Amino acid sequence: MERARAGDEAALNRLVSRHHETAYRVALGILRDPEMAADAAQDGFLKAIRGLDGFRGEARFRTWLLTIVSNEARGQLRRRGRRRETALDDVAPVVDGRTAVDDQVVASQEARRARRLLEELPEKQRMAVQLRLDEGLSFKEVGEVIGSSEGAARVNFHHGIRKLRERMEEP
Amino acid sequence: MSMTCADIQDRLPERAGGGLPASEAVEVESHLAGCADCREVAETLALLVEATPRAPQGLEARIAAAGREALRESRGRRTRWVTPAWGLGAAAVLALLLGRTLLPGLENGPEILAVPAEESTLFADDGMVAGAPVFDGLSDEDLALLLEEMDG
Repeated sequence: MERARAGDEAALNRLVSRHHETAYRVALGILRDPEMAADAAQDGFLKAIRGLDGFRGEARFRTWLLTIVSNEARGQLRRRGRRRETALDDVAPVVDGRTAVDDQVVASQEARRARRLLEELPEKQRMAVQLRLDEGLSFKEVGEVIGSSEGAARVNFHHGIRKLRERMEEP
Repeated sequence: MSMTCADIQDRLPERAGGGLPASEAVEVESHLAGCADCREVAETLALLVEATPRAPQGLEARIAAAGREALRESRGRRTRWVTPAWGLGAAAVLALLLGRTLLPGLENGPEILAVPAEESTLFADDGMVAGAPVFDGLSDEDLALLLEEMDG
């Protein structure tokens, strides 16, 4: 029984280790607030753990988890009224939990600008780019998370990149 | 058949993350050398990767701790017999004594039926026990099913 419990929690620790970063980034993209994103990532993970009896379908666990986290983040957004108006770039950039003053390696200003402009894209385009690029999801999996077909996910990705490039060329 | 610009751009996220299969890398790099449009897309993706947000320190441990608590709560709601180790032995001795006292003609004593499994109520907060199985090689789906089966 002790080994079963240890295995249970070891399995949980493994899943959290693999996916907590992804869950956080997906929530951050919607909420644009690191604290709210951390809360949404945790709450989404807990809902997934409590609802495991509902996970026996064709979707991969990661896709299923990210769908739950996305819904949780949107729910928090609705409950709190609105997302932060200021972009994340307005505060000290955080890398691995430390602020820029503590870390030698910080993204270039242009890279941070690109991320800020990405946040301003329409949600499906932004999520398509983030899920493909940051999380390595296939277009089919992106579609499952954002609620569209694989083809539409691909279109959202390419349109998002094109719009981002146009914005970056603006002064 | 050589890849189109759309095919190339579909693969640029993998290239940006360093995960492009070697079998495709040569053609992708060759295409980029001669296509300014695809090259600009690749540069945009590289900038985004450079500024990829990272989870704050401590979030993994926080989620794992909350998850373990959620698992313990769900186990606590299940109906089961829980008998402390000392109680099991005492109960068995008492049953035997009662049987021999009340039923002296019963040579073999009372049959002890359906002894509940001993269950420890102690477990480590870190969930690690020497000799516990390691799940590094299991897929997410197997881990999720394992959690669900052990919890149900």
